[in-house]
Amino acid sequence: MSVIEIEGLRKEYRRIRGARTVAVGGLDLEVPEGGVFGFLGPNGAGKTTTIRCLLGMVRPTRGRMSMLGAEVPRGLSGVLDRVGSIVEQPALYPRFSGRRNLEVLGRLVGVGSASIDAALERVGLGDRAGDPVRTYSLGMKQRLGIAAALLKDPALLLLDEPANGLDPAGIVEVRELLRSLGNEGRTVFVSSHILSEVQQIADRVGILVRGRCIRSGPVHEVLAGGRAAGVLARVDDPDAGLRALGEAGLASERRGDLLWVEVAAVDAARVTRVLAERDLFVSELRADEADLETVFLELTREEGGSS
Amino acid sequence: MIELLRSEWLRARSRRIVAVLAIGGALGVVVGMTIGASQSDPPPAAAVRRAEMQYRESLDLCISSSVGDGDAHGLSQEELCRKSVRPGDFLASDSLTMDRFLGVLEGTASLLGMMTAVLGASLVGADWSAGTMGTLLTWESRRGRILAARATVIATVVLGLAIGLQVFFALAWWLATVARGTTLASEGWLGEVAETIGRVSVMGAVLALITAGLATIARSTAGGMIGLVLAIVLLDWFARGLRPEVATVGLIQNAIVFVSGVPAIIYDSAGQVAMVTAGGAAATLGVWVGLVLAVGAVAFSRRDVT
Repeated sequence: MSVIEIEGLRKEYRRIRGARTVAVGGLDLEVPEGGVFGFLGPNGAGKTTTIRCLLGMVRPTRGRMSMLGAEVPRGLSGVLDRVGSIVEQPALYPRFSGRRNLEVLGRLVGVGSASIDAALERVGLGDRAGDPVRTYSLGMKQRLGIAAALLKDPALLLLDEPANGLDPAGIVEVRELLRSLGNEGRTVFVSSHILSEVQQIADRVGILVRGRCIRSGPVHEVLAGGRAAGVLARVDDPDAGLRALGEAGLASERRGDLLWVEVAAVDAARVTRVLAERDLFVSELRADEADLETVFLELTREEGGSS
Repeated sequence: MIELLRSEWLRARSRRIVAVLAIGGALGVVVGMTIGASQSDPPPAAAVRRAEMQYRESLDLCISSSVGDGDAHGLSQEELCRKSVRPGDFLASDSLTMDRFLGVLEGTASLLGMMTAVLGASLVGADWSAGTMGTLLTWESRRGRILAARATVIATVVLGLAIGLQVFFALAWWLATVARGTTLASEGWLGEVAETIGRVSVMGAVLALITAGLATIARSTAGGMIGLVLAIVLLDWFARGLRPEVATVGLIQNAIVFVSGVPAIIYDSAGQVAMVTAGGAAATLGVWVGLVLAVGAVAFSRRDVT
C-alpha cells in the first residue's frame, strides 16, 4: 500500500507581469508504507513545493495527490492528525517557551502534558523546555520542530531538511531517531541535500530534478543504477594481474593503480584465488559501490544535459 | 472546533502584547487618577447638597418643558434631559465627581479603540511574520475554521481586556472621588456606566476584528493597521468632505454614535442630509466586521501559504 501517491503534480507560480515559474512540472511519485523514503533533489527542484502541496499549504496547478488514502487537499483534514511535518525550518513562536509552543499545537489534537514531555525528552530538549525559543540554536529549533511533528504519534512524517543547522552530534541523533521511527512501522518521508545521511537511513529514494522524479526505488537499486557490479583490487603488478584475470575469463580493467573486476562483491574470493595462483597477492580489496552522491550527480548531470 | 478554540485561546493569552496592554492600561489609569486626585479640591458638604438640589430642580424643569431637540435625535424629552443635565455641572469644575466619569469613559474610548485595533492586528499578523501560520496549517487544514476560531478568541480577549480595564478605571475613579472629590452622581448612573463600558468594549472588539481581518488580507500587523487608517482617511475624512452623507457608513461616526448612544445628525451646506442612530451604527459596524472578515476568509483560503 502506498501512503503517498502523486500523479502529474504541477505547480506554477505566477509572477508579476504574467510570467510563470514552474516549481513542480508533472511529478509522479509513490511512497510505500513503512520505512524511510529519501526525497532528493538539487536546490529549486521542487521538493519543498511538493511537500507544501501535500500539506495543503499550496494549491497545485494540476495533478492528483493522495496521502494515507485521502485525496489531497479535499480529504486532508481527515488524515492530518496522523501526519507530522516540518516544512523548511520549523516556524515557532519565538517568545514562547519550547513547551508552550508544543502546548499550543498539542491542544489542536488533544495532546496532554505527558505526551509533550515525552516528545521533548525524545529530542533531548527536556532541560531547555521552559526557555524561550528565541534563545534556542538553529539545531534546537529543528529538534523542537521534530518534537512537534512527533506529538501526533504520526503514521506518516513529512520532514523537509530535518538535519538543517544541526551539529555533527545532532545529525547523528536525528539520523538514529528517523531510522528508529522508520523501524517502528511509520513512514518517514525526508527531503534532504545531505546525501550521505539519506543513504544511511533511507530504504527507498526518489530523485527529483526540475520538478520531475527521474529515479525512484530501493536505495540499492538506485545505487546500482544499471552499472555492472565490481570489485577493486590492488596488487604489486597490475598489468600482470590484468592478464591473469583475463586468462581466467574475468572482465577487468585498470583504474589507476587498481584493478577493477566485473564480479559481484560476494564473489570477490574468486579474484583473490585467481591472482594468488599467479603469485600476485592482493593488498587491498573492496567492493566498487557508487555512493548516493555519485549517482545523484550523474543523474542530475544527465538530466541537465538532456534538457 | 473546541480543540482549535482552546489552542487559539492559549496562544492569544500567551502573547506578550496582551499583558503589555493590560499592564500599560492599568498603569495609565493609576497615573491618571493620581494626577486627577491631586488636582481635585474636595467640595464642601454644603456645596454638594446645594448641587444635588439644583440638579433635581433643573432635571424636573427640563423634563416638564420642551427645551432641547430630543425628537430630532430620536430621543424622548426625558432621555435627552437625563443625558444633558448632570449634577456635576452644579459643582466647581475642579472637583472630581462620580458623575463626570461617564464623559471621561467615553473620552478614553478612542484610546482603548486604538489599543484593541493594534491587538487585533497583532494577534493575526504575528503568525504571518513568524511563519507560524504555515505550521498551524499542518495541524488544521480547514482555513475557514482557523479564521472563525481566531475571530472568536480575538473578540473574547478584547472584550475581557476592555471590560477589565474600564472596571479598574471605574474603581480607581470611585476611590479618587471618595478621597478627593464627591461621589455625587445622577440617578441610574451605575447602569449608564455599565452600559457605556459594554458599548466601549464592543466597539473595541469591532475594531479588533476589523484589523484582524485586514491583517489576514495583508498578512501582517502593519498591513492591518495601515488598512484601518486608510479606511478612516478615505471614508471618514476624504469622502465625507466631498459628500457628508458618507459619514453614515464611516467607521468613526458610527463608532462615536455607538459608544455615546446619542444619534448624530449629518448636515451639509443645504441642511440635514442623514442621521446616524445607535441601532444603525451597531448594524453598520456589524456589516464592517462581516465584510472585512469575509474578504479575509476568501483571501486566506485562496492564497498559497509559502
